[in-house]
Amino acid sequence: MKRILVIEDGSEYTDTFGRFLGDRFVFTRAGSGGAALAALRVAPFDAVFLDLRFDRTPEAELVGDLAALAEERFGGDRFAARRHLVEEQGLYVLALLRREGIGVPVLIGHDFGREPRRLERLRAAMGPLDAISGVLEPRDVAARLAALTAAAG
Amino acid sequence: MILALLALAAPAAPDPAAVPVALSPLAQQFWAEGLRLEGEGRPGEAAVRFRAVRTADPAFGAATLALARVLAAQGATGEALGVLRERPYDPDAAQAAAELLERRREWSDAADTWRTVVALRPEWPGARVRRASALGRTDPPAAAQELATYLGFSGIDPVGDGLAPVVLSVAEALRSTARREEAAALVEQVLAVDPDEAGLLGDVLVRIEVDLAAEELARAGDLPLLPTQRATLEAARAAAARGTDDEARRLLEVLVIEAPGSAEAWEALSHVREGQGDAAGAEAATRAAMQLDPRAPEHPARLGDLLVRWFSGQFDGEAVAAYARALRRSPDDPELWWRRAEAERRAGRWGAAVRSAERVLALDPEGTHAADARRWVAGAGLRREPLPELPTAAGRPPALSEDAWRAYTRALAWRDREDVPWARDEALSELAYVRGAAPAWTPALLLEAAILAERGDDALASRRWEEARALDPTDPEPIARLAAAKERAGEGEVAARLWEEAADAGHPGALLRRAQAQAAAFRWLAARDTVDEVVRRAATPETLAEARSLRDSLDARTRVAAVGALALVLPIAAVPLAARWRRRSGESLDALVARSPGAWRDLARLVSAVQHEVVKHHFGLVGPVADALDDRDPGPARFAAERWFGPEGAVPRLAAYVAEIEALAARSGVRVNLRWRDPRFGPLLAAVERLRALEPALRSGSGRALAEELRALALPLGSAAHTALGELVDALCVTVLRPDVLGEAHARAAAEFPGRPVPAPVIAVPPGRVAVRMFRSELQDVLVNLVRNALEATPADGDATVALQVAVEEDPITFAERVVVAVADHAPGSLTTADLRGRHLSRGLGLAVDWVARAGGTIAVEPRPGYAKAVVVRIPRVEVT
Repeated sequence: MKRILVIEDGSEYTDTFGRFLGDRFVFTRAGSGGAALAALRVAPFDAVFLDLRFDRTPEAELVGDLAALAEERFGGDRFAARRHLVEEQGLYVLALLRREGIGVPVLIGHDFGREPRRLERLRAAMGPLDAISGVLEPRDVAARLAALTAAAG
Repeated sequence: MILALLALAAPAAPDPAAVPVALSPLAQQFWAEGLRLEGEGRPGEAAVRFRAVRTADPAFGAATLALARVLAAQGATGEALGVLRERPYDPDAAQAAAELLERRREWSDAADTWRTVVALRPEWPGARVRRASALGRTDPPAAAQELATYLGFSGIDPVGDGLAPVVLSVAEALRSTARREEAAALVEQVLAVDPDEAGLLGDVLVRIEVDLAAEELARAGDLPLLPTQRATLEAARAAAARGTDDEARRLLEVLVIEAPGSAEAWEALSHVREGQGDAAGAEAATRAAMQLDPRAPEHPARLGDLLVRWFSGQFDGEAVAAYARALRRSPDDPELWWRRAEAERRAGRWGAAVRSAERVLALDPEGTHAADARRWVAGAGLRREPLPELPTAAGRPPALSEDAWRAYTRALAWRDREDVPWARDEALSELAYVRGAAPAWTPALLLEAAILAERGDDALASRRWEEARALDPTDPEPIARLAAAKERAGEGEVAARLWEEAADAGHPGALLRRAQAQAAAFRWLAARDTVDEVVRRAATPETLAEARSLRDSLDARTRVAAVGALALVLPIAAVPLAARWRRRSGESLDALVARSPGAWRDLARLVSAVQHEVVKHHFGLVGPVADALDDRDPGPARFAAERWFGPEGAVPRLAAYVAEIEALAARSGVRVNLRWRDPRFGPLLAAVERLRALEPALRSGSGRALAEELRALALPLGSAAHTALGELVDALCVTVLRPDVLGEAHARAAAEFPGRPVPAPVIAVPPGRVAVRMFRSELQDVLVNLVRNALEATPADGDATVALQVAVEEDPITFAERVVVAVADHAPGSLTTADLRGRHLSRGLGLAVDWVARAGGTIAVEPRPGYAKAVVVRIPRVEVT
């Protein structure tokens, strides 16, 4: 069975996928970028399911230099920088994985339906990846994961 | 002189009644004779009597004081001091010794002895004035510090304590040792506390200030920059405006070496250093500018700002002096007066702060700080009320021993010390004793269980709750605690049963959960009854607030339902009336947005939460559950039933969000009816009602018909709801940056300058659709404020052309695009990004900065070719709507 690392701040996706897709995939959860990196270094995974927003992750575990981000991008506003880091944390995690040379296929659980150009640029820069939008139906997730892992080889 | 002073401490006349009865009869006789002889001016004979009294009773302190008095009266001050020092902890003896030392002009010893008096008589702040008087002879700065401490006390008596002459002598001593600024600060501080001394001390202050100004002018030498040096200064300013502070600093550090006499260069360097966080460097540079150009008020004002902003209150007193200096040059500036008032307040000089606030009000009674200043001034006259009489706690239960009760209260106190890592262990240790002494006393068991649960030991905590429950089966608290523990342990069914049991026993939290579940199941009347019960029993303010919020929401829904029911009962005769009632019973969210535009942000957050947390996370399961039922697999249906209807499930969450939206609307005076009147929420809520009716079947996981019913709900619960809610969020938040939006903002700002020709704006928008997630009126207001700021900064004869240029940038990590809106102008001046981050912005500019930040954007000052500068706003772009 294919092994999937689910990177999310809660456990809703892992629980649901495990319940409905447990006969086709083995799901493992990582609650932060650091945990994901550690998991991917010690065990082979066929794909990653990546949430985008990490509300519940402690600040110290967020990937990204909050102080630098606040200074360079948010006019010194640490609160706004933290909000950005939380809302886009999945992509910071993805950038971290790619920087560390981890090229595992990634399925992002985020609605890029309104940002098609952004998704294309992400694919070009940090692929292989796909995104699944709207209401997450397990069978759609399974189909996307299967397609991603098959394409990866 | 000595006699005159010592007489102050002596009784006016011997008072037989004052003779202490503890003395032996013979000693009493000597004491009375001594006093009489002293009164007759015969100190030598009196000394003999007082010595005899001391011999008879060495503990009788009054004899020591009396002996010292008469010895000093004979000129034997050294011997008198020796006598007094035999009683080092007697404040009267210490005071008498300090006074004797002063007369002997032994100032250092006198100051030390006054310190003893200060320590022994904490209730008498005047001792500090006396100490300062002695210190002033040897260490004037320390004397000034002592006086500052004295002035910080409330309820002081400056006249009675002889403050003014001491201040005069200390100020003069400071002045003579070239510490004129400290002298001025001291006198100013005294005048702030005691304005009655303005006549005497005011003259001194003026003289010190004139001395200071003359000295500074003698040292000053602000030299103009050469053309090449000015070009360097401008280049540095441009670099700073671009945000390249390193380059700006490099240029300026060289410039101040080449032109060390330029206050302008030093001040520019101060700004750049501060922008880089080098507060000490900034402060030094500003002081250099101040020394070179002592007559300019902006340097001391900025010095005050730097000291207040960066030095954690260490130098608030100096900041006050800096503002005072700026105000001497610019006495009618209410903003400066306010900054001085704030610094004075932080420095603990509240009386001075109030007087500064009064100046703010006198100069600008309708200004930005007027409301705060009024409150400060009014507050100065407020007196605190005595604590009302309160009922005392019930105290120790009769059945509990005193030791056990104390151990219990110590456990409570330890539990409150969350800052101490071992506090819980201490509390548990105390409770172990209580349990041994009174095993059937349930409050101790409950407290122990609560602490164990906080420590993560749910198993042992549950044992304690079980014990408490066995001891008092009518107490709902342990049942509710057990329910929560079981829930944490994932034992959902057991937890649900216990919650019901706790609710039956009247636990407010459990009842609230029951009410929320009833509301989620659309059993509104039952929920209303349960909520009333919660309100009657609520033990905590949080539970009460939550219950009241739910009750308000239920009332609104019940009214809607009542109208619907009436329409059914009167189907024919009252159809028009019922239809009218129904129309009036609620409105869509459009009405809320139209009538209360400010609610858009909260509304967008709530709708987004419903879309994400309820629809996206939970209702994607509808199809797979139906498929599993087709395959006769009931497991997914049961799993989904818990995800949808459980305590944290989609349906209760949706009910809570709907209640929040209704409450938000109610606060804006709009009664929304999402179920019947809102086209986005209506289909979703109708589908949820139908899903709710399927709960029993889902939990049992039976029937092909169930699968079909679920399939019928997949669309309205799933993608249709997701799309509809997404469109609603977009409609609330997205604004397209078209040329007409920019032009309208420019026109609004230009209209505020009626007598002045404002050229048409230069507007540039890239091709394609450029949209941002920001409410249109807020975006307009941001642009209006930036254009207004540009026009205000442009001189009447300057070029008032403003450019509004839009571009798009891309984030290198997230690849999200940002819309860049630059408002460029030809206005001279030195607005910087650091200014935009600072606190002293105009109200309009401050609001613009806030709005941009709340939209997830940034704002900065940058150079722009062909213009003096541009204020540049960056906001996340929305690609498609």
